[in-house]
Amino acid sequence: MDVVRRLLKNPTSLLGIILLLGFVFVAIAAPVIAPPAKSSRNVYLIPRDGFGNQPKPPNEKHIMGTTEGQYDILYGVVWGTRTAFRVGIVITLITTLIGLIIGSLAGFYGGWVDEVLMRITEVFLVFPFLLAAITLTSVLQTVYGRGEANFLVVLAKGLALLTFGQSPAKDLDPIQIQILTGMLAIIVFGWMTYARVIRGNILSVKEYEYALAARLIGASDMRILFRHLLPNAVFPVLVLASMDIGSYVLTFAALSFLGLGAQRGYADWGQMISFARSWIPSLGQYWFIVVYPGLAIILFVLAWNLVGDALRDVLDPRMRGRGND
Amino acid sequence: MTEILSVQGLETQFRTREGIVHAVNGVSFNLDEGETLGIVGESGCGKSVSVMSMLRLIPSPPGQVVAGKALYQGKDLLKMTDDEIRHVRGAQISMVFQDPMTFFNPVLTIGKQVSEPLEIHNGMNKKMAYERAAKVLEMVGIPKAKERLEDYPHQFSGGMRQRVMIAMALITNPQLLIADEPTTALDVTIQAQIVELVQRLREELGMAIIWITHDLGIIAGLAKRVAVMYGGCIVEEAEVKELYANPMHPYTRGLLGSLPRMDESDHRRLVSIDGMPPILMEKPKSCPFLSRCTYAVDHCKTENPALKSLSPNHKVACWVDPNTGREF
Repeated sequence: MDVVRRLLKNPTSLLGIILLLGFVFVAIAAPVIAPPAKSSRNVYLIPRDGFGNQPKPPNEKHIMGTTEGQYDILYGVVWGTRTAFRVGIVITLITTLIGLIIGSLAGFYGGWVDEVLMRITEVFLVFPFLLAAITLTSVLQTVYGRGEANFLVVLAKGLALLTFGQSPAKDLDPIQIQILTGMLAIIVFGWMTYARVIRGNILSVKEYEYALAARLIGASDMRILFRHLLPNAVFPVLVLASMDIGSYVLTFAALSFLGLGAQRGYADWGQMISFARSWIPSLGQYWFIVVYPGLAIILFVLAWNLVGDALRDVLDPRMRGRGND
Repeated sequence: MTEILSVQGLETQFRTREGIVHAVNGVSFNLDEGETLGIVGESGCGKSVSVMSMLRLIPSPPGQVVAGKALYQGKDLLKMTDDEIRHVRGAQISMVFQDPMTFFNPVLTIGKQVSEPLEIHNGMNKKMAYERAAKVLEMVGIPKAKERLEDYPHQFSGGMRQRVMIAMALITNPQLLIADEPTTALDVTIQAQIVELVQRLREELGMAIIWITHDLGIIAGLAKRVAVMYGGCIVEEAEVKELYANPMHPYTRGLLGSLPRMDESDHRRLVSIDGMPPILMEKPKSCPFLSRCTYAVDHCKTENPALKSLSPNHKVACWVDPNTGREF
């Protein structure tokens, strides 16, 4: 494969790929690196070593130390990798899909369809992303707490199926609900860029002669759009999406830090950093609470960015032969 | 011979910011089964727009077919539902374009694209469709056709792509092939090959052809009848030999006069037609060729001449007999 070969030739993209493979390895080998206790109810709940309030620095028993409440940091960082992948990839998949459908319909049909869809897109763009996500998360959590939102439960169950592979027949796990609401909020305010980019690209490729050619052989609208136009228009969105996996994880970490994402004690990097909130004045002493999960987030986001950058270089013919900028 | 296509009074307009452009102003022609009609004319005279309007491939807006009929086997293409016309396009009427470089989708293999009409219209499975595609590619002279099905468009040369395009148009055995300047983007030796190929395929498959071009030389060897278009109208229509031997419209004369000829012994200066083709911002009230015509009389300024028969195989739209310089 030409694309893979060129990805590996470029040192920055190679670094990104190695980092990413490292994370994949940690995620897969989590039960070996940080074996959960046999009695644990949910492997994503970080095991505690006592209930003491004082964080403990790295020692033999807890290689990365413990946070307040004696949660093991190593365990959280390792199992948090799985959470990061799940959250990042599922959010990206769904937002990209929504963006692709809305954007391509708008670009392809033009006229009032375009007008309506793009105005809706703009309405969503008006809200500052993080604030909107925070607000929606807290609203959703209240709604779920009351247990009166049938439609939203269906959405959450679908999301649970994608994220945790949980059968929709089962009731929602309260441990997961917080994560799902956070993801839902990010998805609701995350799809607009893709819609705009794909719309622009469809507008441009539909003027090519092969679009006319497809119409000429009697292809239906949907066939022309999804078989002939979309494959030619989708690459920039793929690049964008691969970069965004990292930033969605970052956003989710922000939600968790604010106590809106994963619940206390769940193996999630943002949630772990939130343990440091009460110890900010003495972080010099308790640096390990922030540094390990923080490093994990930084490297994770960096890895996806490097890979996304490299994908752009490889897939975009205009960037070819320009070196690595 | 049974008539396969009858276009009557076709009119197409484009609404632009500067006003309405009258691209086609009442074009009428007929085509029999297995017959080849050539449509010639300079760029922008409405050749392509006429056939595209017929197949309802004019982008709308801004384009709009405002009048006329296009009866294909007795049914009006312009009045069909979207679903009906989809089953005519690609199945019964196929088209070949000028530019073989942009015609193909760069991300799909040739096999996928060539066999797609079969998939759409005949509901064939992939294996059968590919077998047929290989056969048709062989027919148009692609060596190792079976292996090349897996290749992408950029792996073919221009001439090869033009052959593939023809194969794709013919894969469903259409009754009518519309060739819109299929040789313009090719160099001369390849042009000759493509013309030969189409002649051979016409004999083998017996489809009718509309061949649009601005190359009078190519048309002479291919078509039975030729229609000359100018300013969105057909100004002369005749059997090929008759047209070349006895051109009756001043524009046709001008066109033929601007061509170098192999059979002329003395060195003659090639004549160009002065002036520019008209921009059709309004429906022509006078003859559209008026401003460039050397034969013009007063009548030409007041009325646009309709196409009238001089003999059973020769029609012309002109007030003046250029042989005498007087009105008919």
